[in-house]
Amino acid sequence: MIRITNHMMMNNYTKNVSDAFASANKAMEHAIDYRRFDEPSDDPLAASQTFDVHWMLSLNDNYSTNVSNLTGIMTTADKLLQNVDTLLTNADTGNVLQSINGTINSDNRKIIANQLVNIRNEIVSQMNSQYAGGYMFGGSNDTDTPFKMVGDQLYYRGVNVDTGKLKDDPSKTFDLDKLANETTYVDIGLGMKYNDDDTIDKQSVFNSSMPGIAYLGYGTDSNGNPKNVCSLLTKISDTLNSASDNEKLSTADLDKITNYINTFRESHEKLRGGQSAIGQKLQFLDSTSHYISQVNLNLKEKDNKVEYLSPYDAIGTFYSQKYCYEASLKVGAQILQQSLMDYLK
Amino acid sequence: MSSTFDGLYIARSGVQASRASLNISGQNITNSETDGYTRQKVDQSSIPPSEYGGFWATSGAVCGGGVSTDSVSQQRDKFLDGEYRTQNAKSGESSGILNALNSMETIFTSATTATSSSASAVINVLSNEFSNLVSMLENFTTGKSSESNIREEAKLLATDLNTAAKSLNTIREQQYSDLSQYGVGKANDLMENIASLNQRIKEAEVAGAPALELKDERNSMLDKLSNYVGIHVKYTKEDAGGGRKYDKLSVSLADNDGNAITGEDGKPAYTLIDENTFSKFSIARDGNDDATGTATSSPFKITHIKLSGLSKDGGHTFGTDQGLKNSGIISGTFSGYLKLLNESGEYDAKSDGITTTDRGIGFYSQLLSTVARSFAGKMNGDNITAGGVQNNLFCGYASDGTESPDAKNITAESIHVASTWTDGKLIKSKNAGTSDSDNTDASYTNIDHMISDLKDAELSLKTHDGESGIVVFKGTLQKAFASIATMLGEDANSLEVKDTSNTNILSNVDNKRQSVSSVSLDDEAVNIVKYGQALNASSRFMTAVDECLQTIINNMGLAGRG
Repeated sequence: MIRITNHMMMNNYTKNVSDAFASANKAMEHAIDYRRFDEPSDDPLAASQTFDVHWMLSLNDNYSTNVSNLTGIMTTADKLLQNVDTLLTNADTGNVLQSINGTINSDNRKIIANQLVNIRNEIVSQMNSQYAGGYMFGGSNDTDTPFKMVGDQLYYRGVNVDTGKLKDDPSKTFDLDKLANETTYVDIGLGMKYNDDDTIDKQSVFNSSMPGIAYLGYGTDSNGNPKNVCSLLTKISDTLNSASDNEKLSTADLDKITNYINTFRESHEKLRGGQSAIGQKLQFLDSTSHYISQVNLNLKEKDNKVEYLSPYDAIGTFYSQKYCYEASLKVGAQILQQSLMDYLK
Repeated sequence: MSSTFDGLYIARSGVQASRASLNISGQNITNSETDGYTRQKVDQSSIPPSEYGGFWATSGAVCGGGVSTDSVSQQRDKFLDGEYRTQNAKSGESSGILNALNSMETIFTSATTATSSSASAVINVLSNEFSNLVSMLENFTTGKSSESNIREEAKLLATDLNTAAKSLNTIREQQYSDLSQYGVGKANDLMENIASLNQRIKEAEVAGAPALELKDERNSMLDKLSNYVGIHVKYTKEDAGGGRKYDKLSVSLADNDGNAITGEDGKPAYTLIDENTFSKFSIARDGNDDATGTATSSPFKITHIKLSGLSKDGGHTFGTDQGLKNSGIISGTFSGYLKLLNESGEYDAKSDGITTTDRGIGFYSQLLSTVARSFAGKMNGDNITAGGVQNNLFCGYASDGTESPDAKNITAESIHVASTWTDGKLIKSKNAGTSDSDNTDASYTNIDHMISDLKDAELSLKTHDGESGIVVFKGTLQKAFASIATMLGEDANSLEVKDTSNTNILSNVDNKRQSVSSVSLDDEAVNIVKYGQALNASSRFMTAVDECLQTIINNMGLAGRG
């Protein structure tokens, strides 16, 4: 049997009481801040889980920022396209395009031509709108004004929307299809990934690019007529203006204009299609946003679990540790003074 | 035939023995809480009859000569002392490393008050800055952040890496100065004092005094010395001439089991103290590997502890170097310091890929550089135009001090945002009409690549390029940034378990030792009663003898006269 001495007992008692006090102190800290750990070494597993959850929360925040930002842009774009749509509808009413017939006199023709130019200019200015400092319809370039009228020619990012010729160097042409199909991918938490050939998986990202010419139309049709609504308005107005100063519009001019109007209506239809595609995208963003908030809630709940103690645990542990400490103090008072010395006379 | 006064002599020896024992009880009681005090006891033996061994054999009732108070001795177990010191060295090593790891932890984590509630949150500094950067990149494509936002965030992240690397170096410097100023100095003082105590104890013992309190002091010092470095203590009986003997003490460096490290001749290889001579530790650092002598890469300076030859000289002029290599220091805080300062765990592995060393400060600073290098590599590599022009965003410094994006020049300490990263270098679309027409498709593709590489790409980070490199981390870059803090936390946590168990074992061994050596007041109370009664009894016996003598001397012949 081990021989127990007062020194040993005192030492062990001091050590045990200080252990009990340290535990009580730790439990008290936990009861105050409910934190599971203060340093990763306190609980490495909880720490690494916490850092993971923080990271996922931060990513989710990014997605949320992107989605709300995109919703802002897309809503504004939707409104703008609606304005353009209204403008085009206005152009196509009985007062304007529909009033063009063989009997219209030159004064009225001039008025209509003027109206058409005004509508065209209004469309261009609508399409050059900015959202939060960036041009919305510039495709992947949001820093420069996308549409510019040079004379009666419309240029989109320096490229003629009908011919594809460069403004600064007309000897060169640019593939308008390429410009109209530009993409800007935004990560909104759809699991962004790359295919084996290092191209991005289009299903895994959100395409936020809205190249203006994709809505207004570009290039020419088989008859050589421009497909761009603005160019068409220019053409019609030019034809009205250039018609000889007769009372009646010539049949050839009227045919030309009718041709333009048909193409105009097709392009207008396309614009409406583009607008409804934006509407669909908005719906998608809306449901994604709900999903993101749900994920955010789940992550916060998980964060609470891995990073924080439940108040019940924290306070319960504190009381039991406090009880332990007080008990050890009491025991100390009982044993420390006692030795045979106390009983000798 | 006993003499007339024998009884009185016997009684006197009893009184003397009881008084000596009572005094020793007093000494024990008063020192019951003195650190390092060993309980003492009177060694007594019975005195044989004086006729023993004489020419004439005596027959009949022969009585001994009472009790002899031979000496005062200590109740101490040298085996337990050895066990305690071996354990003390282990405990010293683990607690030293643990302290350093804990202070390193604060570099990578900081507590902050969370915005959502009043509760504080522990932030993983690097991983936090990293996720901010990713946020900036993610929001760049929707126009919520600008290139200069991203650049500033990148600068913050680079600065955090620099700060972490510098802080690790500061901790290295602190550990080195702790070792050189306090560790080595204290151990040398202890060795010098023990040698001088040896001399005093020898002188006292030769003069016949037991020098018990001096021995207590020496034992305390040996205990302290064992915290710095594992020691083996050996006592040998030496003849001091004139029939006097004394215990000669020598101390040598020990292995983890407490056995002396021996040379080829089987004798202790490194002697710290031999009677009144002692050695001295000294510390030096250079860039050379202890084992091979080859230069290691800066700033991982290798620290050496050296041991001089034995000398009585306090003037520090020592004899030959004992040829101690760091590998000879196996336990104790010295060993802990050396591991922290010199060892880099997986980064030390030779071509066989086997890790034989511990993760010291070097491991974490090299891991930090590995992560920084991989991060810079990805960012630079992704920032490429459709025409194949790479605009480097992060750089380190080449040996001539110029900026360099080469992987070998990028360390956690040197990584910074390249001075050539001005607005427009983070590639996005160009105006189609005026510049490289192929570039229109490249709108933000570099940013998308960066996001994907920082967020999702699975990496396997190795200690070195090539086959001999050991994988230190597998996972995404984000996890790599987070892992430095958690790896450190895990290492500290497991060391904490080891250290707690070392401390518990130490306290158990100490309890066993105390059980033998320390004073029990109950024992002493019993002793007081016991020796008090023995004193009474001896006195009573003396009275009885006195009465007998009274009868014999004064009343003999008068008996029966009436």
